[in-house]
Amino acid sequence: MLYERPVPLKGDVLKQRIFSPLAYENVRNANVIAITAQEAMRYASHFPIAWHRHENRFELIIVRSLLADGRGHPAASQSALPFLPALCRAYPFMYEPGMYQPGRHEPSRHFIDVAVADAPTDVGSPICFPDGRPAKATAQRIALLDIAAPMFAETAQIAGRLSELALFEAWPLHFENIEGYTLDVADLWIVKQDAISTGALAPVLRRHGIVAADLIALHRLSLFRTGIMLANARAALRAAPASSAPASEAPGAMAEQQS
Amino acid sequence: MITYVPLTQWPAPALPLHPAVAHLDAIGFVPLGDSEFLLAAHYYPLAVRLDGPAPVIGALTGRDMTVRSLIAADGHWTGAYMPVALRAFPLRLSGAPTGDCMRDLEIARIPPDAVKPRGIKFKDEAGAPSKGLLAIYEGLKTLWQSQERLAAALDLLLVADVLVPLATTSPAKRPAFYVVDRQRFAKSSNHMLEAMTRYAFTSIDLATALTFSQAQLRADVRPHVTTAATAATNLSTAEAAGQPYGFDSILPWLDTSELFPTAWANHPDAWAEAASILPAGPAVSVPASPRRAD
Repeated sequence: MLYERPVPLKGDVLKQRIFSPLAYENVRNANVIAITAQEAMRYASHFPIAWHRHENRFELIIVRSLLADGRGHPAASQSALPFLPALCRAYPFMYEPGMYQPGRHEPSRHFIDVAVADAPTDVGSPICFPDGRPAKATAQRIALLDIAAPMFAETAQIAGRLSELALFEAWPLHFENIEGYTLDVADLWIVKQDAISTGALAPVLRRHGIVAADLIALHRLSLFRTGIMLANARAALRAAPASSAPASEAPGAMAEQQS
Repeated sequence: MITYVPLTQWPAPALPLHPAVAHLDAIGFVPLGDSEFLLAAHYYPLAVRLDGPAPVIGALTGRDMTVRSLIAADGHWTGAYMPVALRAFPLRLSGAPTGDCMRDLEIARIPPDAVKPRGIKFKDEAGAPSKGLLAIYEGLKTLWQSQERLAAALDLLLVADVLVPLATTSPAKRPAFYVVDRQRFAKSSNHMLEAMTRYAFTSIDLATALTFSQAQLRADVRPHVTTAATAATNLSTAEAAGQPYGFDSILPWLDTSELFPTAWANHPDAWAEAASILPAGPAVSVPASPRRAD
């Protein structure tokens, strides 16, 4: 996942330096990243867009790769800063965990993910100057979070409505024997296929309009990228066997096939 | 243009079938079924024809329309999804299927390609339609059956007045092709969208595919959109102008070089631009020289 150790943005942590988002391993490698509905347009031609379920909450996400170790991404996508989703562009700044749920919008509460920049591209920037003023990089990334907060809230509302109307079905993204490995991205959900030839989605569009219409259609279009994502994973595994990354509970876990 | 003759009038009992790859420019447009148009939108510019009794959605295949080549320099298919109608070529249905495949099918009148004929006998030893022919016929029947449902969904887009013609360079030679004007569609009210999806979501799938696939359309034939409005470049301008703003317009704020809007953010065709950041799908091949239409 994207975040390792979120802490409130205050106190001693303000003395830390920050770097380009691409300097951080999680930004480069995380294979499942939350997006706003408004971002679906730019990613539908490259990544499957789906919802990740955590307990009863459905979060809109992109799947950048079937592998969690940074491989298997579409060519050049990991190093293209303009192509990163908003949460990556704002990194290491982030919302308070769970903040952009419906009814919890408080833009002044920012957090920061405490992570080492393992590949800095330059000397970075302080978070704040000694007089307390935020540096430009800080201000820009926080501004992005503030602007995106209502979009994340709306995205969560659309997911909530789809869930209330029982319009999701499980999407088992699971492949066996890919160069000897089992690939699995767990807890992914999609809009029910058999809802499409009925009027079941009309109430969602009545409430959420063009944003929901675009999102659902782009999500359906994006699922056709799954085959290419599998081909990318296969090619990456063929080029070099998996690293020693152990199978874990997080999405993108990969288990060596028991032969 | 390709002419078709009834299969029963074809002089030979078997025909070396010609792969469609040799005739993409002459074919120009193939209808798409309801289970394949979303997939096809990743590889072909989709468009609607209004010149028949009902609207039809299809894929444009000619080099004068597509941004990327479907054929590699060595003449091989680059791996794009091949729609049912293209796979069936040179066969197609002459009208509503009756169940008699020999009578329902017609065949394109094209000269034999000496290089790579693919032989299918029309009839087996017992004189019944061969398995190969029946398989093609079944595919074309399924395609035909989905046309009615798709036409009803396309009618909703006509009523919503979101279809606009492509800026084709030779309108006299081809029927008009229509795509969705994104800016018009984006103005749909919530009630309009609810009405459009009261019985099925298909009209939204179609509208989105018709916009999404414009990334595969050559820039010189993309529709001339009526409004000059581009995505507003900052929140206060958008609010002042009463315009919705796209999320993409915010990201240039994070350019470490400057806080001013970039040319990318002002591009009126944000959908195509977003898709063009990285190549999607199979790599673009060196374009083959266009073949003369037969």
